[in-house]
Amino acid sequence: MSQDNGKGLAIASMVLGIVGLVFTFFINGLIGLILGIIGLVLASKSKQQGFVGPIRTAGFVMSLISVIVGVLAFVLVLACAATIGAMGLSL
Amino acid sequence: MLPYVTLFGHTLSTYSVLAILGFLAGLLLVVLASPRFGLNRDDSVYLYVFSFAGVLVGAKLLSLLPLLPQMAADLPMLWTGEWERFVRTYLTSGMVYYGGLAGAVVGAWLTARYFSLRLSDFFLVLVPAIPLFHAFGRVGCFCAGCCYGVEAPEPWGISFTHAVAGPNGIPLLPVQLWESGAELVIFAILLWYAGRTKVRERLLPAYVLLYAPTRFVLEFFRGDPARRLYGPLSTSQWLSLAAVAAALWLLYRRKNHEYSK
Repeated sequence: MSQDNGKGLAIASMVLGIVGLVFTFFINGLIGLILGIIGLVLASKSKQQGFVGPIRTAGFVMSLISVIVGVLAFVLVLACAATIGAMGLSL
Repeated sequence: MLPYVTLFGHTLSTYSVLAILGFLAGLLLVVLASPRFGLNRDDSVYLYVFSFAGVLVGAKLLSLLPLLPQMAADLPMLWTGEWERFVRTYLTSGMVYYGGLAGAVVGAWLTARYFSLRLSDFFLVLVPAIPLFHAFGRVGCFCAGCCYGVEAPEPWGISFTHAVAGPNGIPLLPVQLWESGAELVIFAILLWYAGRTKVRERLLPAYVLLYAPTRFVLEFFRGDPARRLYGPLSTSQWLSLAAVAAALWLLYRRKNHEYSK
């Protein structure tokens, strides 16, 4: 376990959240999605190590937004609904 | 009905937009209701978000189960330059609700273990979020035209004009909207029940006992040929029966546990 009680992980999560947002909105939704997922995992590890603070919350929120918008952008590219009927599957 | 919407100059699948709105509605519920039940908001949000990851994985895995032989045969597409078609065929849409529910429970259980939390304490906010999300999802189905009902004369039946995952021009029962309405009623009942019950463990079986019979009945009105039938019942009807049995077993086990104290 790191000696900073997860603060480093929280900072990493926030950085990934910011970079993820930039990728999601301006460069590539899929990369933003992946960065967001990693950011969420790091924020969770930070929480598990006992770190409490706005840095972790910011990292978590920005990573979550990256994931949500990344999903929308990625799904947009892959045309979601049209394949439901083609695959013969139902919710 | 309305398969695509344009937001900020981008054309998006309405189904995906509504699914995300459903997720956000559930998140809002978790954030607002947690303090009311004396729960740590931070813990609730982490549990909700990671159980949602379980929803996606579980719903996808169960939908792929009957396609495994075909998927195995198509695996070479991944290294013959057709990976995008492989992803488009197998990994985008096509989700099975009961797989998502099982995935949510597993995801929430793993997250609770990871953070050393007692999962059943959080049922008060997590369980009502399930029908809330699903209500949005069913409206998404209606917009895409999938999961439709049997043919019926108007005004009971509605003819789709822009369905991308169902037939156009044939009046069909809007079962998706019926289920969406039923989900909202179940959501209201669970929210009311969450404020009154002293046994938090009962929330999940209560949800299953409300949803599974509803789904069982609604399946008789479904007309999409994509549903697989095993004997007289559809896959979801068999799964509904199994879910009811599991919920009753959970309640029975809980009751025995109370007596043994």
